[in-house]
Amino acid sequence: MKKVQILYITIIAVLSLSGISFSQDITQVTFLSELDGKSTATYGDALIMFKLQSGSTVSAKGKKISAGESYTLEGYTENDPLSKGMASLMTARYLDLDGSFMYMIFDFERYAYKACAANGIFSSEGSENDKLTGSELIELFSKISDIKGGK
Amino acid sequence: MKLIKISIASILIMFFTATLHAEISVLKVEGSAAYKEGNKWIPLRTGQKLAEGVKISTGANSYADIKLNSQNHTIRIKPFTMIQVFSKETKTDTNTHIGLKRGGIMAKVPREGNVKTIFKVSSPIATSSVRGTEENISYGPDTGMIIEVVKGVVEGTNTLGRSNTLSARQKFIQMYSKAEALNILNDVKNASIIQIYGNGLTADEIVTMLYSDDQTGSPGGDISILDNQVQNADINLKIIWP
Repeated sequence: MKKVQILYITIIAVLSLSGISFSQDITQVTFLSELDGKSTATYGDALIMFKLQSGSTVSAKGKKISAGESYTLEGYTENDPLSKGMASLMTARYLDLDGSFMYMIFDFERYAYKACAANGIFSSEGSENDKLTGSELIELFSKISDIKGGK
Repeated sequence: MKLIKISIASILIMFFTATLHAEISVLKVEGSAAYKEGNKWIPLRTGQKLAEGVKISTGANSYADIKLNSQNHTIRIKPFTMIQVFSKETKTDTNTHIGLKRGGIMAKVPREGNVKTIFKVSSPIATSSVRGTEENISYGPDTGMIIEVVKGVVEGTNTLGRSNTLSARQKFIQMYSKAEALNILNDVKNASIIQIYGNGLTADEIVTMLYSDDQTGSPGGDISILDNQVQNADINLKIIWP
């Protein structure tokens, strides 16, 4: 009977330890999986992605973004659909892009989109008014990650 | 008697299945990386063995190195990537197929003399086939599938069956809206040639002129200093095509 109890305790201990080793932040993988299926990404999705890219280790969802971050835009709410122009302006500010003289003068979505196209972040076919899907937003961050020196 | 026969058959099936499926194992994990079991994402662990057909996803600033078989065929799964891995091997050949749903991977497929190797990476719009090489492959809905050769030879084929054979410095870029991949030297060309407009000005120079004085000395600006100084000159151009 005592042997059985020791066996149970050992099994519980092993399971508990493996639980500790599983303690990666899986929330962001789940969030990416959900975002991948969205037909239109939102400004709030982009904020979360920038926060994750900036090295946040907290769970992606439900966290306030500081208004002082360079990539935040004024005049939009988190539920607004994300356009290529909005994503371009956030990206150009985050990466401090050059490549478009006009963007260097005017911090507008239109010229930020041109700067992103010049840097190969967006294909030049399309317009700054196009809405981004969830999978396109993830693709944008794959490129940002490459530019930032991803592993 | 019937039970014994079923048991023997089951053991034989298990034995042959085991020799067909290669051992997929996790070499290293950094950041957030998970595999899918049922409908749940479960964190990847270093040294873990994975089942045939496993789906793997990585998060921001994360990567995972995966060993695909005993021939040391490995991939590095880059950030924001989702793939599905199928890998089989016998003593004489290996057959690996990776479905790239999004993101990018770097594949290393060393060549073994006597082992027949099939190594394919597929996206919804194209497939890369390699043997004895290293390559970077990425896929996304905006820019399509990009195959960049690091070492060796790769074949890129789109869904219409049109293919290009690539070696170092060449890139296969298949976009959604195009029937054919872009020119494999497009990147080299873009880095070597700039587009010029009227009076030999680049786009940036034209934009500069619109908002400031002309600083280029072009015919559109003040070139009175050059009056009566027109001469012919020989210019030697040495064009190095990489």
